[in-house]
Amino acid sequence: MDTAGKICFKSEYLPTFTERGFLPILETFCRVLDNQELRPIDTIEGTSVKLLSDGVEKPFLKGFFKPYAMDKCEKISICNCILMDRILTSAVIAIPQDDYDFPMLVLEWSETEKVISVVVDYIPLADMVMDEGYRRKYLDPLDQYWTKYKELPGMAPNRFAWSRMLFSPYHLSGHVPKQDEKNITACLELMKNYFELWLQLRAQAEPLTDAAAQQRIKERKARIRKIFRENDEGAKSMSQMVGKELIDVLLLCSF
Amino acid sequence: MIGEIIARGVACGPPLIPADWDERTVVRFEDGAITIVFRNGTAAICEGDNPDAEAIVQMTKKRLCDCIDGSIDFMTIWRELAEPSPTDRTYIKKGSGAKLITLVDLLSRVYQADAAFKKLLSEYKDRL
Repeated sequence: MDTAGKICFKSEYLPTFTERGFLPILETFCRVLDNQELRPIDTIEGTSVKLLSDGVEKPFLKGFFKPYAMDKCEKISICNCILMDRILTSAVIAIPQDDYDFPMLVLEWSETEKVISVVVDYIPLADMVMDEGYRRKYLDPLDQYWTKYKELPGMAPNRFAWSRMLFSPYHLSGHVPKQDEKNITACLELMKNYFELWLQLRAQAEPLTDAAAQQRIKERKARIRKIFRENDEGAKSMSQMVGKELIDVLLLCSF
Repeated sequence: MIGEIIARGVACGPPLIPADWDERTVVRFEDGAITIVFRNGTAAICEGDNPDAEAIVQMTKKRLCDCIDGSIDFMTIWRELAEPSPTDRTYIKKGSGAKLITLVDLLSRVYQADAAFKKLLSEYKDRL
């Protein structure tokens, strides 16, 4: 274990923005990750990501985006940024190695003074029509949480068709009003529950031995990555505000 | 009139517009349009449309006022202007709303801090 990596990922050393009235979402992610061995990644696809992983402090964007290597995972990226001093965006995105078929993890949290926007999902790396066992093994365990949170006020289908086509049957998204303390607690729990269960499923996953299966996973991940990078409208707008170089690194870190 | 109010807000607002921006955003309203020219770290407001502008946004004057005075949450403004769906171009007709959202942000700060601007905008909105 790289001690520096572990020290880096303690919320007390990181900008959480809770002092501005935002909720402790980064602390929630840090607590779930506490016993995981994370090794910082400095370069992705030949590009240094230190511009973002070391932290950024610009008028329209403050915070960090840190990618790590983790057991069985190509990377797990943790982001905590504040946009225009008004929107806290926090996310965890994890992508398995080519020799594992457990789903990708997507947890996105965006928060303003009045609303929490959430997106949670395990993006499947298999065609579930052809392989129902995949759904039973990796996705159906989510049913307990999906059922519990699907009717939170403000839950609604994701607006983007390109995004929905990637999602699992247990994807949840919505804009939950902050005026009710119960909703706030539920949103934090939702993130924690989806995150913890994914770590359990990852721990149980066995490596694929079939080279053709590994190749299919690799191609599917590459396709998903391309779809996200090409369609992220928020990133395109941010690049107009803070420059393309920074946002290109952000997209590398995220998918 | 809305152009004059925006110009007033920009004049007394914080220096939030980056000096290297050189771009035009048209905002088309229910009757007429304004062209916002981002240049030299400020935003100049010109009356009239400009189809060659890098960005064209369509919204009502009331909605713009709602964005500035906080009647609409910033998340909604962000979604509509900065993250438009490819299948729903209600507000963004061309290019990106990134520059306009910056201007809205600036004006909403002035609205909170400057009583005269707040009164000007509120009275204008009441007349719409």
